[in-house]
Order: sequence, then structure tokens, then C-alpha cells
Amino acid sequence: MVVKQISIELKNEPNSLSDPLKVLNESNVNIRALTISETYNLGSIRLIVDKFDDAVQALKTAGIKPIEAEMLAVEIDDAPGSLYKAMETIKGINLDYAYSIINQSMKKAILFLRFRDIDKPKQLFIEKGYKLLSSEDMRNM
Amino acid sequence: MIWDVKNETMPAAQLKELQSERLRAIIKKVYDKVPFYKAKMDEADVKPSDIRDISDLSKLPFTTKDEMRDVYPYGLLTVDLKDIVEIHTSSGTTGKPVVGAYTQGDIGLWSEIMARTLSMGGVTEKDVVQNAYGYGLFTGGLGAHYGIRRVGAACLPISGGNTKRQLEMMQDFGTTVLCCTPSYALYIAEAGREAGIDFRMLGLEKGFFGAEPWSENMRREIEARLHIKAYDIFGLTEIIGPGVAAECELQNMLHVFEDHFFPEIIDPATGNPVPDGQKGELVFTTLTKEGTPVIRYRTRDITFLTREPCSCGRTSVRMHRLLGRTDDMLIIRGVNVYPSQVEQVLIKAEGVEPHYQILVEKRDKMDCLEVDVEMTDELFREMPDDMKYRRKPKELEIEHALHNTLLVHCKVTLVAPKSIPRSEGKAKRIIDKRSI
Repeated sequence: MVVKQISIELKNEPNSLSDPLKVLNESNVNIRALTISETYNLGSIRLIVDKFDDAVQALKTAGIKPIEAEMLAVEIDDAPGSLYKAMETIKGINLDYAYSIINQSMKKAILFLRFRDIDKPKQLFIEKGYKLLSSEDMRNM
Repeated sequence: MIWDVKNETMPAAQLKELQSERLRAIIKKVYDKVPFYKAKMDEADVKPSDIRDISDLSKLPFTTKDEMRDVYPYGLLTVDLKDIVEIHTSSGTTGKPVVGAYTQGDIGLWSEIMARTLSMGGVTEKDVVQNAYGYGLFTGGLGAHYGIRRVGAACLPISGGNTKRQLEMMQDFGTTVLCCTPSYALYIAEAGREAGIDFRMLGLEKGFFGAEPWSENMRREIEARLHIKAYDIFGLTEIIGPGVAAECELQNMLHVFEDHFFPEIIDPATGNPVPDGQKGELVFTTLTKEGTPVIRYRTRDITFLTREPCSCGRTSVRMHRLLGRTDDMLIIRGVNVYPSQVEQVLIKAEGVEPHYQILVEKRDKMDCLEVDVEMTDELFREMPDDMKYRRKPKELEIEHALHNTLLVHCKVTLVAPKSIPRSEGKAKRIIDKRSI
């Protein structure tokens, strides 16, 4: 019950984002969630896509190196306090980074969470009855 | 122009007599004064009286860089310390540095041979010489300095670096001669072009470039960009510094100042001398140096010699520009670097494995050294590929440690465990992309 994330390193300069996006467009990959951040003289783009394997293959073929990581995708209510409650569930565990999307039709939000050790938080969320989404769910959204 | 007509054009027979006489004297002196040489000669069962002329040189044992380090700091001293006026060292590569200690006479000798070097390219007292070799323990800066002074030219002792100021001085003082490493010459040319300087409008006429291997292509590039004539000069700290050999105006191989530094070429595997024209390891014996004479020093540089007469009129043997090394030493911006030094630093660093790869390439005309190092599994879990920015402090820490040891800057990149290709047998540790 994990979602695979693709991250790509980019030069921190104009137009560098368009190369990977063009590749994904041409291979008909849909982006479910996205975050772009700036680190030491590099930019980093992190993506959740519908067709993970196709995206990885297309990027590699185009000479772009995709970095894979496993994320927890936790469904929470699109309502005040729900993020707070979710975080209370994993109190004491270090979260490396996170981002989220909203599924308006379902009145739900999805949190994408990155941990160095994914097993403990996964177990805690399951125990508290949270729904964890998989890469398959990303395909079928 | 020939600086020292008598010694530089000496007929072969007379030169051989002079070398033999000097060799007898130096061997007697080191045998009497330096326990290191006495022990080596005793072990090889050679007495000073066995050395009658220069052809007996091959009876003597070689001296290696490691042996010179073992007797650090004063073990090669042939005179009292009170007679030493200056001390230089190599960059302190693997472990202790090699020491060159100079008497007043040695400084005079150094001035003379560097004056010969500069005169070969036509430098006179009318010239303004910008000396961009580094001043300090490195022999390049002061060696060139003494030669410039001896010729009587005006010396600008600017030392290396600060390219903007190099260009300013060049314009303001009407520099006619540039001394630096060949890669720095190209860097200056590039910086000058970017600053809109037309080198044809400057007074620059010639340059003396050494301390690192370069090529005919690089010479042509320097000459075209700076609009000068570029001369190759050769020397090494173990022998004296710059001024061991240099090109004349014909730019066809380097004249060795063999009345002072006697060259041999040996087969590096057997140690046997090889004939002229055949490639092998260059070996030097100092015939006149007083402070720290060196007998049959194995340079680990590969080249060959020729005794064919040069039309410049000088009678000395000539050596081809360096053709390689017998070991894995790299020369980065004029500094000697051994992969084993990198390894020693990495072994001491926490969180990394001694699996590494060294990449050397030219960037903006300058040598760039990059080291990829594998992290331990533990560190990799802390700093996975999607969070590479976390590696920066660790990378900087290792860069700093490497800089302290190598004395050149390098860029360190931490990489995932087992990501550096393993090869069977000898690891491919070095990728040198420089085409010299």
C-alpha cells in the first residue's frame, strides 16, 4: 500500500522544466500530484503519476534520470482539523517531506508523505483506520 | 640568445670531462657527508673511487621519492644548516614532502639556469616579466624570480591567481613576458577575451610555461590566443625546481642543462639504461648542487633523449616533452596528486566507503578534479537520492579534508552504495578526460 514517486533533478534555470514535461506529455502520462523545490544550485521536481512504469521508461529513454521513492498516500477528510489528526497519529516519527491534493468530487484530500522508514507510520495509519492508497489507485483515480 | 656561451656550447668531449670531474667530486662528498648515501653505496658495494667518469654513473643505486621522504627533513643535507639560505618543499603528496635546501651557491646556480631558460626565448634586461607562478614553498615562483632578476629584466612578482589583476598589470605595466602554468595562460587568455582585451594591442611577446604536462595543440592555442611565442620549461623540486631543461627559440625539444643535471633514461622495469631515442623513465643526478644533492633520482616521468645537434648552437642533450608517468600521479593545476592520497582521506571520513572514482577534466581551460564517493548504507538511508541536498554539508566536509591534503580544490559528490562500477582486478579509479 505505497505510492511510487518520481523525482527529477533539474538545472535551476529557465526552460529546464519543459524537457521532462514534454516527455510525459508525449507518452500520455497524467500527473496526479506535483511539487517543485529549489535546493543547492539544483531544482527538484517530484511527481505522482497515473502510469508510473510508463513514465519511468519514457524518461529513461529520453536520457532523463528518474529517481524513485516510496511514499505513503493517506486519504483524509477535506475538513478542518483532519491534517492535525493525521499528524497526531504518527507523533514522534520524523516526516521528511509532504504534499497534498484534493479530490473535490469525493470531498477527500490525499497526503503524500515521505519517511526514511515507511513501515512504522504505515502500521500506525492502518491501526487508526486510515485508507492508504496504492500506485494502482493513482492509475484509476 | 645564448646566456652562457661557454657552458651551453661546450664541445661534447670537454662537457663529458666536466661532468666526470663534477660527478667524482659530488659522489665523494655525499659519501663522506650523508649517511643515507653512504649506506646505499655500501649496500651496493660501490666506493667513491669506483666512479671515475660519467659513464660509471650506472654503477650507483637509484634514489626514489619515498627514500627522500623517509629522510625528511634534513637527511639529505650535505652542508651545515648554517650554510643553507632557503628551503623549498614539494606539495607533500603522500605523507611527508620532499625537501630541497639551497646554499647561497645553489641560489646562484638556480639564477643562472633560469637566466639561461629565459634567454633561450630571448628575454633581456629590457623586458617586463609578469611572474604568475605561485610564490612560496613551491619552487616555481621563486625559481623564475631569480632568473628574471639575473637576466636583469623587470620582475612583476604577482604570483598565481587574481586573474583580473593579472590582466590589469599586463595592460598598465606593458608586460612583455608571462610566466605561469600553461593552463593558467589559457585561462588568462579566456578571461581577457571576455573582458574585451585585444592581446594584439598589448606588449606581450612570449611566455614560459611549465609545472604541468601540455601538448603541441595547447601551445598553438596559447600562441594564437595571446599572440605570443610559448616556450616549454621543465623542472622538479627534487632536482632544483624550474630550470632543469627548457626549449630554445626553435621550440624543438628541451635542452637539458646537463653540465649541472645529468639525465639518464632507464627501463622502469629493469633499471637498465636504454639508448637515446628510446622511451623510458627519466633519471637525474645533480652534479653541482651543494645543499641537497640527489643521485640518480627516479622522476617516474616518461620521455626520451636525443643528442642530435640543435641548430641553435647549444650542444646539450635534449629531452622530449613529457610523454607520461610510470605511476598514477596526476598533475592538477601544477600540483602533484596521487589517488592514494584521496583514498587516505576517505578512509578517515565517516559515513563513506573507500569506493571512489576520480574524474579530471578541463573546464574553462582549468583542470577540475571531481571525486565521487560511495556512502555507507546507513548514511544513504539518511540521505537518499530524492533528498540529495542533505548530502551537501558532508560533501563540503570531505572537500575540505581533501583540500587540506591535496592542496588543490576538488568537488566531492556522494553517491549511492554500490553505484560505482566494480571492475575485476585493478579498479578503474581515474578517468582523465583532459586531452593535452
